[in-house]
Amino acid sequence: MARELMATPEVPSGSGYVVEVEGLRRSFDDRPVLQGVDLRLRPGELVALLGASGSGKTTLLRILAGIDPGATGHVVVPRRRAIVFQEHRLLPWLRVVDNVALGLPRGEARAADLLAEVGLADRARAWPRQLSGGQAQRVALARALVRAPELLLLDEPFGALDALTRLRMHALVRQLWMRHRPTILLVTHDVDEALTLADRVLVLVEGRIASELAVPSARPRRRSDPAILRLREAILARLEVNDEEVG
Amino acid sequence: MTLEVGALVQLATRRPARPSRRWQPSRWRRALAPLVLLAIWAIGSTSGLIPVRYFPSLWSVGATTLALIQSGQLQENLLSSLGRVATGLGLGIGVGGGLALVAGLTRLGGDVVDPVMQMLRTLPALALVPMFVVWFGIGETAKVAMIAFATAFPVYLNLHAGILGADHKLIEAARTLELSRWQLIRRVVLPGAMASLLVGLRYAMGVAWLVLVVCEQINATTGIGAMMQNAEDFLRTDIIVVGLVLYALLGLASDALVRFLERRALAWRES
Repeated sequence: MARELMATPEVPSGSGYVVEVEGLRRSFDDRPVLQGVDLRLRPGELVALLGASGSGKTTLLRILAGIDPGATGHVVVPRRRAIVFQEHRLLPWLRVVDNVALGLPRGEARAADLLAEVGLADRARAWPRQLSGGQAQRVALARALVRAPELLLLDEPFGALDALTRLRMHALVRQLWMRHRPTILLVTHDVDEALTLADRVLVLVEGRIASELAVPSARPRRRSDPAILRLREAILARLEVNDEEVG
Repeated sequence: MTLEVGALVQLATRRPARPSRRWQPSRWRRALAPLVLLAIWAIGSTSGLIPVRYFPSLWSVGATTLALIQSGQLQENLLSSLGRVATGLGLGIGVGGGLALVAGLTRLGGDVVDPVMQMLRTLPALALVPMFVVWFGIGETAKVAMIAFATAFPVYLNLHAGILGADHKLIEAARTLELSRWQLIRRVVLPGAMASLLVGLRYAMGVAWLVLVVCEQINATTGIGAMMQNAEDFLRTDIIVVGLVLYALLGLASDALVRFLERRALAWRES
């Protein structure tokens, strides 16, 4: 079943899944990072991928984004996909609106709409340097969404933000997700973030998806909800973090 | 206390067109030392402390400048020099920039062009003047070619380094946006190399004037260097000093030009 990953990953067939991954392997200098990942994502779901640092979550995301050519296995992803990195990666010499329009030829009007959606319509003519960390990440989100992606990959996009800004970003991501309904794969090391946002949580351990947990869909979610608390503990156990370490 | 905070906020939200005003006191201070030097020169010549046989007085240099302007000699020589620098620099930027693009953007170009350029750049350009005279004669061609040769290197080296130093993460992000190779170069790689290119341009301009001075004193009938060379034959130190001042002003002007280009092209990183 395993074969070379193609430079342009396949377009989904009629399987009903947006993303299909089977037996995905990736090594760096003979050190295996991904050791046979299987993954399926349905249209419009928001899935969080958790894992300790070095577990290969970012590698998996980069393969799905098509910027890691060294993997083997079977990968099917939609052609229309976008990624938001931990750093905003905006081009410092383009104004905010031009950065958003970058991914869409003649997309200035749509870029302005997306900027308004992330609440930055008034910063359209600013340089990226003039934005705060949270604002820059919102622009990066707008730049990703301007292409109307079927698959949105988020690589710890809130990792560098302060706690308050992060909470606001969670609300924004939920809003954008409800409106545009892309399939989202969110890589994070923050269990609470995963439990706040995702329908489903995948835990990556030693290069494999070790477990998959459905999150009760009631919203808004409260951290004190007993069901959420039980899930949190189960996930931490799978990540091999015990209560003493968490405190 | 609240008043102070309010004032601070107002300051911080002002549009950044203000700095020029804030800089002015320092600008005046910076003009002070040159003015003092001019005064020393003027007093030194009139009091006889500086013998006018060796160094002309401020007044005679001023008068000579006026005379040279009235006779049209100054303009003629200045234009001739400017023309040489413009042509040579233009060629040097074209050749150096073109080679940097080839070497920086294609693997083959990097393997073929870069070693040659890295080897040639260690040659002191002025040591090649005799060879250029043999190859191109003693006319305009040799002078322009010499300037072009000497200025191509700083442009090449800096643009090449700027292209190679492109931010890998930005390129990766641009790739995920499905930018074509040409768009990637035009919108990501080249803007990123712009600061470096401008540093190269600043060096190139300095080099251009230096080479011009040498070339014009070897064999030329027009140009600032030729004017100074002729003056030497008649011990006209006043004309020589006029030439020196002209060279200095041209150097300052080209520096100002590059700074202007920097402000325009690098507006995104000004604070």
